[in-house]
Amino acid sequence: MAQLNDKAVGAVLLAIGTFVFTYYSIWTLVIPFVDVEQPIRKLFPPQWFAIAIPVFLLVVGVTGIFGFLSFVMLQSGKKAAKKST
Amino acid sequence: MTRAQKIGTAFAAAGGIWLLGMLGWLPLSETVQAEVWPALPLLAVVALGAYAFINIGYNLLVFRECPEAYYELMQEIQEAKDDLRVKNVDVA
Repeated sequence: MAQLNDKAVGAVLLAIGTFVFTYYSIWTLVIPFVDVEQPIRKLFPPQWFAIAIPVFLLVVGVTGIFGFLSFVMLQSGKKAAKKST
Repeated sequence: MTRAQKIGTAFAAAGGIWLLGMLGWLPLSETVQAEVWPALPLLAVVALGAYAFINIGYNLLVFRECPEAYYELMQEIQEAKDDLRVKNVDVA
């Protein structure tokens, strides 16, 4: 059963990876050259979001990582201070 | 030249070319200059993340489990535990 669970996770990751890659590549490289009236434009949000969404996710991610790091360091600092008193 | 130096040089070169494009020093068409060029670093980051996902996912999918090796290993663990228990070592 663990084997099936692993394979399911792997399939999901693979699907997410391919979808994100193709969608974002088309969004940034192809859509700017498509006229505003073509129906394919309806599948993609405006170009502003093509930059806003990854930047936002990056900022949140980096903040989360640094926040977690500082939290852990503060905790271990407090523990060291407690031990020495 | 170490691997880190190679990657660093490639990074610096790509970044330099991108900056030149952003400053308007490269002959780019109107659409490319306004809409495509600024998104290129983000495309690189997204592509890197997607590549990581695809790599992990694919390897998880094709990983072959070997049941015979599993049983053999469990048996060896059991024998080792019995052996150590006889010799008065505290095992589970």
